[in-house]
Amino acid sequence: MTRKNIRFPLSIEQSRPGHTGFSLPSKTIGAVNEIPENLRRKSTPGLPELSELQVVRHFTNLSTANYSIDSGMYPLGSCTMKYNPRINEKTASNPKFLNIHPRTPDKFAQGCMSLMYELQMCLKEISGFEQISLQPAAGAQGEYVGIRMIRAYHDLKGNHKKTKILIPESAHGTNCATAVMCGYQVVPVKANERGILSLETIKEHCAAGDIAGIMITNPNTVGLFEEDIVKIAKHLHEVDALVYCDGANLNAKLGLTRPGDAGVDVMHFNLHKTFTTPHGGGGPGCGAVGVSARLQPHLPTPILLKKSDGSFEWDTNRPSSIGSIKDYNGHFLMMVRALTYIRELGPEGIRKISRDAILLANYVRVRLGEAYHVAFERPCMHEVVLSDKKQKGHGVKTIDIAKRLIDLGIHPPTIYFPLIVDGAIMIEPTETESLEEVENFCLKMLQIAAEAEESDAFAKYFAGAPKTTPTTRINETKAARDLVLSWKEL
Amino acid sequence: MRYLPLTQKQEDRILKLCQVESFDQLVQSIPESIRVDGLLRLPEALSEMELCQHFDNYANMNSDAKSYLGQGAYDHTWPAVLDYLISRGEFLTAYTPYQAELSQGTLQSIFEFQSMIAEMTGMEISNASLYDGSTAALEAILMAARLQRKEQGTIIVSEGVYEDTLSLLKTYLDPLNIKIEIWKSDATGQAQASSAPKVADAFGVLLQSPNKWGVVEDWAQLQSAAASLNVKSIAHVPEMHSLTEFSAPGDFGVDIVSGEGQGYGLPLGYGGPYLGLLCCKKQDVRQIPGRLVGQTEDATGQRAFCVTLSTREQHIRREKATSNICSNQNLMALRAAIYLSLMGPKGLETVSKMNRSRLFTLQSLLSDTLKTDAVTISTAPCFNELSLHFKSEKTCESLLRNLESKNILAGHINKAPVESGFQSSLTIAVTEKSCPNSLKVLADAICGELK
Repeated sequence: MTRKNIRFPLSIEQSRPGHTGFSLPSKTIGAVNEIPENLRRKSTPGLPELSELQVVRHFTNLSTANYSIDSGMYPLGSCTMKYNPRINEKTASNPKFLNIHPRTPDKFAQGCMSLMYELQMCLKEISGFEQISLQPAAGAQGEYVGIRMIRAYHDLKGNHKKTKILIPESAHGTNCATAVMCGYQVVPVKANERGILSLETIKEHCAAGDIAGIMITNPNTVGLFEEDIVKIAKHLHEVDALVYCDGANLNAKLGLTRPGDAGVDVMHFNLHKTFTTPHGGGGPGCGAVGVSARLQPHLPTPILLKKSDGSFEWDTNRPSSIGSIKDYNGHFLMMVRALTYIRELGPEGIRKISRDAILLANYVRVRLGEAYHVAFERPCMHEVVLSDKKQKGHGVKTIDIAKRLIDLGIHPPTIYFPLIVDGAIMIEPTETESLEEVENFCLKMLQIAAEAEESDAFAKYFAGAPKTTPTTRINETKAARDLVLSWKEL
Repeated sequence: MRYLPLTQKQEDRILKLCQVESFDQLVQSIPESIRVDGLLRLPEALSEMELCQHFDNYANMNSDAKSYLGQGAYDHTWPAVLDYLISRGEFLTAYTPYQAELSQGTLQSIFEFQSMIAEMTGMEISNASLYDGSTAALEAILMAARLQRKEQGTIIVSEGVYEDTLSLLKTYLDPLNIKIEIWKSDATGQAQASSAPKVADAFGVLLQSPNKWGVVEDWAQLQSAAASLNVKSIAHVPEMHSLTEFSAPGDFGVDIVSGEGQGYGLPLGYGGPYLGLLCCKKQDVRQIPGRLVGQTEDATGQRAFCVTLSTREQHIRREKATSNICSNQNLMALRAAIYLSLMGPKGLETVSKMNRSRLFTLQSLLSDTLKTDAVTISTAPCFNELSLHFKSEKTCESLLRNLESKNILAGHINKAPVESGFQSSLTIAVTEKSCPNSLKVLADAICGELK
């Protein structure tokens, strides 16, 4: 690779022997035990040697090659990319939170524990569940805990014939992978012509008596509320099966409706979506779970308990618990951020979140409803799913629309998901965007729809897009074919 | 409300555009019976000033104590500039880099992270991170089972694996009908290949180093045990700083390395977020779970990076995926990448030497003054943690409690190596931040209690 083909040299390519970016009292290192010959490292790891300023420039330059919430809107459906308030970062950077060891005895960690307890109480009220565990690291681990508890419930009752989990075809991929990790078989369920689950279909699936539970996303991934949720949950319970709810779309329900009240037995929260802990380019998340009384005994250990004297302790003595699922106490520093957000908003603010998110999604639905095909023509919740049906005839597909949007300066929506809508374009504006920003996005989408109708549109606007970005259309096939995953291989 | 800009006027405009009379009409699909009536009973909203006070109050409820706790989480230091770089909004508030053209910053830094972790472990490739050390060990075990084409069977695990890690493995492996067999250590707390259990349906063997007693293991023993059973070898490294001067598992031909990267510039933070690590041989790349970033080029031939081999992952492969992991620990991986770029080989060596020197100081102080038959100081090669082996569990417990009442958290109690004949071990952690003077106070306090 020649120098001119490199936008940012790798850190190792800038390395010069003798440069250092640390300051340690190296002159006062005392005596050490000799390392036995058979345990001594023989190879020298290839790490860069850089001055502090080189490191600062390198990562500052790299950061400029990222799109982020701070730089623009992310209309990514199902991802809830809302603004990440900086006050959260401040409260979470208290040295007394940063420097406390996870194995600190309860007596010395009462501050952390009371904070976690307050967050649990808030999430309990928001969701209508009996009890909360803050342990899981992310949504997918929360899902795992949920289904693992459902399994523990059936194992305890000796329901050994219940070997299957119902999962709607529109579900996130994590749902299916999770069910398999818990030893279940996946039974895909079709939505009806209105885009939601019907009680009748569920009843048919349950008839054989081998269904352990269902994994429902509500609102579902086409942005519609599962209208029969209460009846579905009731029926599942009648056949001794349980209801798991994917909490990815909780934003649409805040202060409006509670999964616990609908008969859901367990739901995971994505604190990194709904409660503004930053996404960090792909984590860390925090995937708390809430449960109904049915699953309470099976919650993972340790459990945070409030004692009669008002102090807190970690309880590990839970005979029916599924056991430990995560190192230590979960992502504590993420919990500080989430609670900061909930405490800033208060009950009125929490209710306004879902209201504004729903209003803005419906604004997009109506504004784009003529130029684009809308998967389901009726009011949506916090997100709306369009498709490329009208543009395909002109040779313009969803991927082209997405890449063209990059040229117009906006991050594309979620595309080709859910799988049940052909060429899906899934848009979630989120409540932290102003109407002006959302309108700006709509104008760009309308512009693209108009461009697609021009003669020779593909060659003129879409071929090879994005073209105006410092990094143009990326060859993903080459990445997989000539696999290079480390600088050792360069 | 500063985060919710939609005004009443705009709301009215949207409702009109949607041809509905009220917001309620927009959400008609929610059954009446489960609509929240009025407001949730949440605490009242706080202003920024009040928020700061509220959270300071919580922080101040934590009591100060001198801590020598370790077991996979260590109080290391890092250059201040790290906190500055990691807080850049372009990194902090970016989404998962699926749209590669808009995510080159995240993607290149993860490529660099993967490269540096591969360098440190001596392995060919590393993924983009997992949740934490224990779940990384779990994913390593599941990966070994896939590589051996075993749906069930037995994983052999060294006695020195943290007790918490072991109980986590049980949670996940039980429903998959994977059994765990323990590989007993010798009296000093080191695993010897000759004593590895001979299990017919084993598919892998996992050795943790440094282990729960702080003892550094010999990867040659792991390789020899795995070879004699014809199974996959997994090296589990809960403290990456140990690999600076002690041997790298990759140099011994180990199949999979799992680990915890907290030591690379991540705060203790009462348990997280931390950084799970997973490395393997390139030939096995299709069975590694989690995100991978690869090099490629853009339309103009410029070097670029993107997420690759996604067909292993849940969003494409659904129930056939290698794992259900989606969000990983990207920001923590970036933190580790910046930390390693600042430290370089010299910085890491200094940290490692300082850690070893502090441990040597503690060991010397204790052996000079600790004169009782009830306790033995471990003399096995160790890193960051040192164990005192006790004949009586009670003595060990009461020592810890008594020191606690003096605001000294002297360490973690483990079961002693079965072969040693001792009952309990007090495992004490030190790092480059432990100053010799406070180590003297600790040693005196321990000796005082045991007199």
